[in-house]
Amino acid sequence: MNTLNDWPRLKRVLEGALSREGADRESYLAEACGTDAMLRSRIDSLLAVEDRAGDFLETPAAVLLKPEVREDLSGRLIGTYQLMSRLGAGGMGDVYLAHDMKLDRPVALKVLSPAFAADRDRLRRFHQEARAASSLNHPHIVVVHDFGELDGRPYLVTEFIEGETLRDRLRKGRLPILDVIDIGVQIAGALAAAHARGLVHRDIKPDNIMVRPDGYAKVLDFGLAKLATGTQSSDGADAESHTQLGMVIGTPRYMSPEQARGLDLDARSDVWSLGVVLYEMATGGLPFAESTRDLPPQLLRIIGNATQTVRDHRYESAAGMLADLKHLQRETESGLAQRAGMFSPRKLALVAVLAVVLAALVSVPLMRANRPAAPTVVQKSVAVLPFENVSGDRGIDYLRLALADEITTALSSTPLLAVRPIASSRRFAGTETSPQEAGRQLRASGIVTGHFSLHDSELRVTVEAVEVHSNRLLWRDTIAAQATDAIALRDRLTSRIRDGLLPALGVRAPALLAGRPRNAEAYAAYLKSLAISTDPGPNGEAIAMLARASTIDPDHADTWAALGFRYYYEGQYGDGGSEAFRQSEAALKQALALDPSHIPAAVRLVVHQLDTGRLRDGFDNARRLVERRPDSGEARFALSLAFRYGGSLEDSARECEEAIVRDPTNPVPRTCSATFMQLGRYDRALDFVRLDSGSEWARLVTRWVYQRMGRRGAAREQLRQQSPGYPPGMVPASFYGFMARCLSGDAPAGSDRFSDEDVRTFLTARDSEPLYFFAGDLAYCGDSTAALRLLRETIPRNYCATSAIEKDPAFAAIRNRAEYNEVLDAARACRSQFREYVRAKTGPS
Amino acid sequence: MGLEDDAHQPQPISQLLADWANRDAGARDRLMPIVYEELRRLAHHYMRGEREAHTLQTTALVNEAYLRLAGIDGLQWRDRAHFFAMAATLMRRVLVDHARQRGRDKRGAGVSVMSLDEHAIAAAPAVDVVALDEALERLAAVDPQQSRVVELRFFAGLSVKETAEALGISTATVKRDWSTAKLWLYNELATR
Repeated sequence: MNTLNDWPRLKRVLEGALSREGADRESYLAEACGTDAMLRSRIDSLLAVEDRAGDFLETPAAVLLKPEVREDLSGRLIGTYQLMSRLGAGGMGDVYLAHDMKLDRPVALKVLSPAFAADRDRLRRFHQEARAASSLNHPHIVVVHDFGELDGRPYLVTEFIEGETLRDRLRKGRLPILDVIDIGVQIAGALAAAHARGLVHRDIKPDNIMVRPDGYAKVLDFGLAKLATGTQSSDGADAESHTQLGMVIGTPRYMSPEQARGLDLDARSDVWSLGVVLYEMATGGLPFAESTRDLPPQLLRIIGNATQTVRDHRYESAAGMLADLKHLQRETESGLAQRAGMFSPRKLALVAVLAVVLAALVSVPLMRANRPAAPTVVQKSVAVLPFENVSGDRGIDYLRLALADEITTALSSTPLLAVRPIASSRRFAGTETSPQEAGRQLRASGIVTGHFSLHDSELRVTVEAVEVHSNRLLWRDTIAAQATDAIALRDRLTSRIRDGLLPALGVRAPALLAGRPRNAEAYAAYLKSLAISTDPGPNGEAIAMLARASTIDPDHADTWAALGFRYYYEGQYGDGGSEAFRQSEAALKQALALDPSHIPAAVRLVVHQLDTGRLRDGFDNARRLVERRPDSGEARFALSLAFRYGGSLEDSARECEEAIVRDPTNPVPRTCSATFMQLGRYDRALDFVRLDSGSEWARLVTRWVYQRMGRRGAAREQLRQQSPGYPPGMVPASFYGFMARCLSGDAPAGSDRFSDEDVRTFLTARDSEPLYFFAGDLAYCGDSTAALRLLRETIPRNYCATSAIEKDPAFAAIRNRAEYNEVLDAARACRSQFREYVRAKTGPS
Repeated sequence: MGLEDDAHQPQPISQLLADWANRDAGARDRLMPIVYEELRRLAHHYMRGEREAHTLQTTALVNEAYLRLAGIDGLQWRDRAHFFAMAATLMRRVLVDHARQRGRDKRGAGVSVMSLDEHAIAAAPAVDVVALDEALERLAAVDPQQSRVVELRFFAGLSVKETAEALGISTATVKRDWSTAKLWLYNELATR
């Protein structure tokens, strides 16, 4: 029978039944169907599958995508070449095993995309270059026999190598160290010969290296990358030709920084790429795999030298690299090479080398952002509030922040959405603030929040997204996982966010979320650490937890980032000293190696660099960060900081305003108050101090503002409320008495002096900026000599903002000193050099 | 060559979407081929450089097509619902044609369309899209709206709320239509 007979009636009764349960439903059906036994039986058969149909069709259809199938030309005769079988299909074209009928030998024939035929000049240059490389007759460079064209598609014919690509080889895992060195020597030899003739490959990667079963290796495709990417002009034509051809040549991973930026290339670009290939062969491609420990430090040093961000610091050509590799090969073969694991003192050196390698690897994705990019229009902003623990179990309270933090991270992976940092929203934990009110305070158009509970051992998390202005529920989902399996929970959460929440917010999900945790114990430790205070004691515990977690699961970016922050606090406020700062930087770089879009880690790294006088590096990184994520308030803040340290105060102020517009309540940009103090804009300085109101830091900075405004009494009140000894380690014990006497007018100006030792205490500050402001205190209170000593110290540390002493009233009393003019001149020179650098980097505008 | 040459058409698309939202039936007909081409292009794009086949939820595909066509500044919830509604029809056509092409007797081998539930890939058998399509056609003959609800929910992954918006009916109606249709469809497809 037709199951749709009299459907309206059937449907109506069915709806009625579905809205009821148990006896209620039974009595309803009895009445609705009456004596119509046929209707009742049809209804019953539909209701019978109610349970089974629950999930039916609930997950939207998915399509199975298959690699594009290009016509297999096997069997065709092209010129004198009989195509036998297709060996592979790659981005640039298909490779066939062919038989050369004339010379009766096997050859490889590569049919390129018709796009390559568009520019005849370029095609001709490719022919020349490929022939030139081939004519070197180098045993490790594939010989090119012939070129031709088939139905508008260029092809090239090369010697046939019976083997596999290094890429295929690497799919089976990392290589034994002797093989790594052996292949490295062969490829470096091929490149050295080419470089000596002025030929650059431009696309060295495992896919372009053939390896025979006996370990003999050859480089493929000289000149092809140039054909594909166009000329090596730096005017953006590269990016243009990429899109025209519909492909990106070279995987970013192997591209040198200058290549990613579309600059002129030379041999050193190949050196970089080979360094990355060596690294991948040795480790299997996973940075920080356990196995790295067994690598000979000499090899790591070679990789480090090859992958220096600044190409002047690399091997000049593959020849130098070849020499080092050969040396290492001899040592290894004779058993002389040291294995790092056996020598514990070497571990430190190893870490240092690794940091260099990673810094180099990190810089690639960041550099890519340097390409002119389409402006991003951020439409939507969202804040994630701490979750509510609706179970009675206080033991899982840490998830309130941990869940919010994970979701914030997942949402931050797309630049199309402005996500308020967790630092802004964590203050709503445990408050009764409504999502709408929180949304208004955080100036977010959407709020994500939710609650979690424990049922036996199952953790259930409900996540909701609410549109602030309409209070409309945009999305809701419940995710369940065993409480002990935090990773499963996170994976489900992340995938629902990608597939549900982001689309609900009108944002396309990004390609992938990096740095996924792999070990449950390590991940749980990471989550728990999020709720631990940054005060020295507990901070130390957090470091221990995170350090252990990072050993168990070295691929989780967030763990490294958290460790980086913790070490920073340890250095700044604990007893960690310079070792803690070093650890912090190393951890942050590891986080960025795993997840180049980790903004907080990138910002903190900029702070490190500026603190320690690496002004240009700090500026470069901050600028790339802003180009990459112009929507991020923290990225703008980093740039404001770089401009201030460089003495470009107006630029700094502009970026401060950009930061605050994007993240109105994030306390991180609080130090913008320094920019505004130096500009003499005291009200605005106080606005930024208020981002962190109530803190010791705020009392200190507020005092500085008041002193400059001439409000001595108000400054004294701030000082009275300050904990003596703040900021720890940065000021001598006598400082507070000195300031109190000065501000209360008890000591005649100039009668109080600091000892040499006291001055040295000031000078131990790692960051140069406090020197400027404490110098302001000293100058204001009459110890001009000490003030000048502090100021002079800021110059070699590249704190060019010291040029602000010219207008800063705190320094009025020292302007008659001869040294004052020296410092001012030096600071101005520092500032002009920085401006020159910025102009050179950004071009006239 | 210029693979990307025709990818930038923000003006006509936004205009067409607006016209269509204003009940200009012609706009829909003009939009269809553009959207189809975009979906095809995106699928191709997703596969660029891929060696292995993989699945992709239609929701993601449609959403991206919308973002690309409407442009980020053209984002409006109402347009979006309309767009998804149209894309659902297209998706259905694409998937069914594809499944037909591959032949229904080859079920199991090379199933190209499935209801993808990450937690139950193994447990839940692939939905027979051709059978679903035929059942929906029969349902449409007696209850076009209900058939459409299923189309939007399953083929474009619209939520209940979006479905309601796209069809101009209440969410309660969508929920009722959805739950009763599911029971009927489950029976139809199970008893074939």
